[in-house]
Amino acid sequence: MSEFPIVQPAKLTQIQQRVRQQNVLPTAVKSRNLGSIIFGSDVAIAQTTLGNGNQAVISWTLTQNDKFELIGLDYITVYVGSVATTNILPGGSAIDETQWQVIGPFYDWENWSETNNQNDTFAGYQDFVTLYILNISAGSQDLIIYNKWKYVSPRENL
Amino acid sequence: MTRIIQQQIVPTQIKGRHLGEVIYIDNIQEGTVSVFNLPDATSVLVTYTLTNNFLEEVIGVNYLSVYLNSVDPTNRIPGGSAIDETDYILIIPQYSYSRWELVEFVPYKEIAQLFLQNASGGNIDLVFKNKWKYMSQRKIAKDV
Repeated sequence: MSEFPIVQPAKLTQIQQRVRQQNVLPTAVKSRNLGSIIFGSDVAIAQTTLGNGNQAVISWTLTQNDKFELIGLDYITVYVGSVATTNILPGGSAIDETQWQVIGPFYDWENWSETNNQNDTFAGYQDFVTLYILNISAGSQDLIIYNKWKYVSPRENL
Repeated sequence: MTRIIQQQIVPTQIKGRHLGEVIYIDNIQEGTVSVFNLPDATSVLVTYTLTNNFLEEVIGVNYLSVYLNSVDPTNRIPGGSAIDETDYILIIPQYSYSRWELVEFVPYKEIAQLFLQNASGGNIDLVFKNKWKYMSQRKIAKDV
């Protein structure tokens, strides 16, 4: 007689089956899957030149092309002259912030509203962010502006 | 139909089908404030609060615009063609740590603020528009 029990092969009914979409989900399913619904957009780079008294209104739009809802965070950095940490507006060691007026960035109700003719039916699949910059007295300067969205959505398609 | 157990393999489409039901858009809110020119005084601090009345967690972004006198793109601060931005000091920190701390950091609220000072724009009326987009387990979240 053997010291060890004979292991029986697993029955087919014990194998986990992929559930159907119609099945009722456990409450924890959403949180376990959240990691695959947070995405990042490509980096976008814009450049403009501002002299004293010149201003720029920069707007960014994130659109989910399949019209799935999304919520996005817009990461933005503005460089003066060239891309270097010393040239970041605000905070770079080579920057005098009193030479600039910066408002925002902020989620822009006006731009979001305009896409719907200011009706109260705003698109859930778009996000809008705006940044205002006025060159008060920095002289003629190139601004290089980087941005990249992080967003949560059912689908990645931008 | 029985609820499936957590160990079962779910189809990839489940994520998308369920996530669409947790991102919502709140109603438009509008307010008007008169702000006087210096030296009379002259600034306004606007607080926007989003509250889920079921006390369920919420995370939201606050869309806002400020207009001089009337809601028109030319009157928008900043960026409107009729606006001289140097007449105003506008600070938009968006999320307020201190206001959230006052409510003991409850996860069912979002609190954002906007500060605007009339530096030299004369006696003016400001119109504020805002609208939250948020994620929560249920749609019922009320601006208060």
